[in-house]
Amino acid sequence: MTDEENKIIKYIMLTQIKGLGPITQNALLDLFGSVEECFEAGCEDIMRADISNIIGRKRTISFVEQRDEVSIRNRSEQVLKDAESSGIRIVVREDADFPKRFKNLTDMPILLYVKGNLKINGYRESAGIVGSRRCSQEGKIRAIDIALEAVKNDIAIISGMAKGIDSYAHTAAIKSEGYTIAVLGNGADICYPKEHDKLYSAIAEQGCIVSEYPPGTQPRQYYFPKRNRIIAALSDSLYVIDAGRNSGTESTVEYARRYGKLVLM
Amino acid sequence: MAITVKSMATSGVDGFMVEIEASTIRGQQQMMSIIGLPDQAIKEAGERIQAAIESCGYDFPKDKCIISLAPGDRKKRGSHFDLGMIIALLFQTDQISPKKLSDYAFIGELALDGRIRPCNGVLSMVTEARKCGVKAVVVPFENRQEALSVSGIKVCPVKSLPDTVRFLEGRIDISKLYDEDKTNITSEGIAVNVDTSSGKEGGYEGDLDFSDVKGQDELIEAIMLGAAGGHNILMLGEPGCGKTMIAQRIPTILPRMSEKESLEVTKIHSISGLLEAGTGLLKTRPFRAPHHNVSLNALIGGGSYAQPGEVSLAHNGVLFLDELAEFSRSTLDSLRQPMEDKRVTISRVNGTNSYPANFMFVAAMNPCPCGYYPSKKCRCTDYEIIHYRGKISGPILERIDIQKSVEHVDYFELNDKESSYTSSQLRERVEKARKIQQERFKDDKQVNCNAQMTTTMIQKYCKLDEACTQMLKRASEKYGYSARVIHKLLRLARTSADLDGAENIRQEDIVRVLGCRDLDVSSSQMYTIA
Repeated sequence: MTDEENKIIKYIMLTQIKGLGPITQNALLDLFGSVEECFEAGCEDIMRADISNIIGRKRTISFVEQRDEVSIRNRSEQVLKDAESSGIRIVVREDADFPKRFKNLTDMPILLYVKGNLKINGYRESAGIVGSRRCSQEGKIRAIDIALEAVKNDIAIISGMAKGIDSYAHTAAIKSEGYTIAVLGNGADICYPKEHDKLYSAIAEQGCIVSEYPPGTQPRQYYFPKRNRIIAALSDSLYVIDAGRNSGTESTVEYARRYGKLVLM
Repeated sequence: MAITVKSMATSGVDGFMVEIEASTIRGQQQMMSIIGLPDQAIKEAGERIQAAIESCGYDFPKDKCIISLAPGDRKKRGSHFDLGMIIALLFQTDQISPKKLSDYAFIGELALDGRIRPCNGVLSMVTEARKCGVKAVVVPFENRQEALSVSGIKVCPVKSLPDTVRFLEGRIDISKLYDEDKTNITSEGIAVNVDTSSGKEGGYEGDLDFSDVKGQDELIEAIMLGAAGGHNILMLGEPGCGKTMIAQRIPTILPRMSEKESLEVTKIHSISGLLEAGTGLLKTRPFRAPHHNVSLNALIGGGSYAQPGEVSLAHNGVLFLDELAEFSRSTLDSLRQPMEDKRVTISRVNGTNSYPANFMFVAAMNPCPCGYYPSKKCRCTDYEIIHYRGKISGPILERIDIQKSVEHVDYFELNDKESSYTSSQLRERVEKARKIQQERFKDDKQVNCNAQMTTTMIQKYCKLDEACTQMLKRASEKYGYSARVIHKLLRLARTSADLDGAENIRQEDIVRVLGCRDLDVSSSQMYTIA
């Protein structure tokens, strides 16, 4: 196993440990400086270090207890193997193409499962286009127009590959040969909803599919609001189309506002 | 010496002759054995015969009885051998003395009290009996109309075993028995006109007529086009806009059935047991509308005896599949061959049968999963719509020439609208167009309507002038039509010209025909990655 693989496995392990969310994961990495250090630091050092005010004592104990568990190591190795076999690259926090837009946001994932070409850092500007899954004809036309206009100005299109507005935004980007990123609420190797199979392959070919969930993760309704924060973080401005009250889109808007992004209704 | 009595059996749509031999063997234990590859219904005949013999006052033989159904190597089924078997047995035991027994073939199931019950497949059997040179057939009274539709053979309808015996012994005149019953029936009002030459009423059910359909003129035009050229039709429309209503009326505008067609249809219905008692030849074209959960075998034909399926029951008529997208893919795909060959061959352990299946295929489906596209009510995404439409496999869509969307109808505006068409008008035009086609294809046995034209025929009969070619070219460029679709359009255009009796395809035909590809047009407008 190469050093590179070892490093990635450690990152995966960090995400696999129970009781640690992205905030804690980021905090640990910040604290120790590197992922190797997270696993090598002595028990006493960790416990002695006054980190309880950042991470909390309970989480620290849980991390120390689990980091050497064989089962977690095995599972992580399996995730890496699955990713390789389904053509998914794992981009970790310290990589050059890890989105710069995640910087200073504490709740971003420490790694991304990527299918396709993640070159968002090469884009000066990005636009998120999200909205209703059951959109009207007007909404459809608006989404397509916004996406086409954005592509013309060399802006990357970010969306969630859901039905409705999301799918039109991606489709417009692909058709006009623009760059688009689809952030999924399931493993990057799974196409959901299934009627988007051709869209999915087109995005993987021409843009990229991104997920924080390991390959094979089935879509669950509670994953989607979480992935919305990634959409919000990746977009410099967020276009919201046809969104109803209490819709999933609301959470995207909320995140975008929290991250200080421009929200256009 | 054994007695031989003639009876008939069915195999597929055809009949074959069965000779029933009865023999008794003295000095052996009393029993009855039926041989000659009988099915369960025939095996049980022994019990029915025994009961009928007792209740009619005859004696059941005290010896061993053997009844053999020859040819012994062909499987037989059905309960209609009862009558022949009991006659053979009674004659063998000298309890009756029929005259000229060899002139007759017997068909009929026995009730325990000696009555004769109706049975299936009488038409096929009587037809075959005539071919075999049988002079007269004894059939159940309820099946007499069916049997009478075969000319050149005497039909003796009977109601009970005692009647049959008296008739065979010459003690009663069958025509008298029949006469008296005939008056009986007419008074009940179920007498059926069996004279096919008269053809009054045009042979369709009076309560269905295109004049009931309002506000769908464009679609009716397309339906007429389909009926005139034998083109298959797909209707796209929201729920409740009248797709089913229109489909039900299609048989009323198809040309009247010829006697040959009528015979074919009746035979298939008869062997499937779908002929109502007292019905003669079917005069209306069948309309079959199986539900979308239909199994493959029920659609194509099957079962352990390779019975005809819906495609054969719709022979010479209309097979209507409502909610086409809900049918399972394998079921739909199984239609490909019968649609091409106009015949299905079904092989099962108990026999291989080939049934005709020359039907007009009419299907209906919603334009999208919710059903309301392109109205505002519809919130389906383009991907969902394409996915939904993709449920119907290409090869099936390939065989459908006309795809027409059905307009939404507003009930409150409906009252003001007049229906512009009646079935009889439409049928007249269809028949005229068909006549032109028959003339055109009279040298070719394989082809009898425009829909079946081969590529060479299209080149020969569908010549376009410059303006038409340009028009077609423009449409083709706009929607990306393949050569195959163009061929379809040309066939349709030929029918359209035939409808008006025009010799060449005109511009208006091209316009009319281009309006028959609604699904292609609508699908090409979808904003998706294909």
